[in-house]
Amino acid sequence: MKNYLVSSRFLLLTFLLFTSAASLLYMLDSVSYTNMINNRYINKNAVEFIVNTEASSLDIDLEEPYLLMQYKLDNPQLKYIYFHPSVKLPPINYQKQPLSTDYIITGDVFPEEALSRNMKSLVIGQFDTPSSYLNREAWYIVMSQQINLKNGTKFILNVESGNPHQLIEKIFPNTSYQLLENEDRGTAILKSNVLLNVFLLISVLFVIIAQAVTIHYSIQSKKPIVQILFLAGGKWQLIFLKVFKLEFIALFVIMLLEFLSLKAFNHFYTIWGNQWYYVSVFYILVTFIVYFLACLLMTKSLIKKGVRLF
Amino acid sequence: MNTARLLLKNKKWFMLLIGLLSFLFSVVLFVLLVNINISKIEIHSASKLHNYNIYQITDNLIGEREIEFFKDVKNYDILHDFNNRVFENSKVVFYNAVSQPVGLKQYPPDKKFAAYYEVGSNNDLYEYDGEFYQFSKSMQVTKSVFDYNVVELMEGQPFDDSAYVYIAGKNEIPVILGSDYRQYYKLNDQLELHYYYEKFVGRVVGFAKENSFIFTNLEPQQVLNRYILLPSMSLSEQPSKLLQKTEVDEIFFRALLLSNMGGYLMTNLNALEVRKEVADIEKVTNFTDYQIIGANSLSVNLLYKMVDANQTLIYTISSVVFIFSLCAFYLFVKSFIKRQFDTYLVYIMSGVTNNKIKKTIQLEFSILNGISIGLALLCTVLFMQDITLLSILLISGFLVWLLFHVVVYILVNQLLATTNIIEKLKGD
Repeated sequence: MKNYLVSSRFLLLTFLLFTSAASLLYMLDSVSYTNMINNRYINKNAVEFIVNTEASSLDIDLEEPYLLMQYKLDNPQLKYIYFHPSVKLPPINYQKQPLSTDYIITGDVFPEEALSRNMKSLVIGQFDTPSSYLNREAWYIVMSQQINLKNGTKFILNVESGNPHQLIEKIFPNTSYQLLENEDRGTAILKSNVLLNVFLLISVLFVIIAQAVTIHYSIQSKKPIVQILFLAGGKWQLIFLKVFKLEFIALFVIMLLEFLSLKAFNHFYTIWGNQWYYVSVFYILVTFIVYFLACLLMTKSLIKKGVRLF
Repeated sequence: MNTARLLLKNKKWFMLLIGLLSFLFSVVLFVLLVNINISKIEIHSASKLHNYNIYQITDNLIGEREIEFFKDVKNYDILHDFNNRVFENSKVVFYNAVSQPVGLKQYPPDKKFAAYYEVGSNNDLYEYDGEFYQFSKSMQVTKSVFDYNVVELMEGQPFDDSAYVYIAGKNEIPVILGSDYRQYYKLNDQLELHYYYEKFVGRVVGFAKENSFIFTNLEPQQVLNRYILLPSMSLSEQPSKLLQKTEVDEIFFRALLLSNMGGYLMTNLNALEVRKEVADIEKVTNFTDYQIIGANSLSVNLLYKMVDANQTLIYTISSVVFIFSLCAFYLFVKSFIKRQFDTYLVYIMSGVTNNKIKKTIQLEFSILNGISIGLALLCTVLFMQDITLLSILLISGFLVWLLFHVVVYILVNQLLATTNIIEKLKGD
């Protein structure tokens, strides 16, 4: 009886579909991350602006993850970078270990002679991004949280999630700034890259439909046993518990396993924002809730029909 | 026929789900094929640039030297002759994409079209002849720019050959606008331009697709969304004659000749050979104020690497996802048939032959797959608005249909052969 109630094929399929959905979402995010690296490490939600102020410096006091680029209008290749410790930097080959003081990372085609002698001594590594515009840039990583406006008045703010405009207000309170509408460069504007995202989205849809089909058939296979138990006499709550309890427990264990493996994967292969992780967890939870509600509805509706029959 | 009708009855959900899965699977396949083709076009275009040696040719006419040179009207003709001969040389491809702001009278309210918007300038308006113009982003391009980049138009036509020639009295220039201009103008609109100190009417002949870009030495991907594209015009006859025939100021011809000269020479020749080739032109035309330098190959290398990396990404992800979809689709079809099998057994009990059952299942799947694949094909073509790959998509659609026809045939035969119908009907 118990073996009949728990379908190992359904559980295996569900596990595979959860994993597939998470993999597709990870691929979608990793394509965005690759595009971000190739687009000078500028995220698709980033904002570009020019600050107009008399002040010589400003303090950054933010809890939210951010990465702020500052540069001079006539020298966009040298950027001053301020960031929250939790955000991910682009791939870098360090020749020396990063210091707690300021340091510089250069691209492999950035002309080092453009740096002053003092700056040259701060170079500790190169970007490991062979097909990116970052190769033409140098990043001056600023460890203090104080923006020196002598280093430029143009800024690009990258945020992991949320509204970047609110963060600008927090960083530059009472300061006037001019927002600029930025344009992407790099792989993000290649038509094939845009279509790759469409391809992945359709595949996600394919997985969702497959998930719906799996749930539909799983519920269909439980119908006879629910009817028999009803005919044998029993409250619907008891029937529901009897038929689905074990399967729910098994699904719950699968869900936990899936969460743990996603967490571990996200720890080792972090990408900007980790959006895929949160969406995957949401998807798994929603699927579980939908399955629970569908089972509940099926049991109740069958019993209602049964009452009408007799 | 009656049996077939009975067999197909009461399976709406089954039909809908299998149809939907088949539809999505076909869309995945078609989008994959279209994308591989697009990526091939992109890499082909980038590799054309990558495979060439690129040199930059510039003039030495700066400051006083320029004023001195253009004092004699014959020198206009010399420079014109030199430009023409370089342009027509069969051993080099002359590629010129000059970013040169142009005055636009009916400028859109959005400041992003202004020439110096990105550096925060608010001072792009100026007055000329009692009218206000805005310095707008513009790019003058030779025909080779379209040959070596993938610039597709969402509307209109590319420049015809006559667009690249300035003839006496010409006051209309065809222009192609970037996609962001589309909300402000339409095809055949006439824009009032202030171009090299002369007034022209710019007739809109096309709109470039969003995120179209061209290669320039400074920007590997110069995105055209905010740009006005003008044809880089050569002169139909010697400038000295045009100066006599028209009232156009000489400064216009001077600017045109100088901007036409500074460009890239793309060739298979090495540095020495290309210098010799241009030196031969120098001897014939007697124009010596030029220099040839090795162009910055980093830009084109970056562009090539980027497109190449993108192609690898597409191939890797697409193959993994496609193999997964193929397996998933096969498993679902198999599972569907198995689940429907009990229904078929009832018909067998009622006297329907095995052969009839087999044929009905196959017919059912063939029709359903056929409709789904057809719909998927239609959606892909409509969405992509591109019928160049139609034949390949039709063939691949037919192959998918055939593949599943064979799979269903094998599965049904296998199931009928391995199932002990008598025992099944007894309920074991």
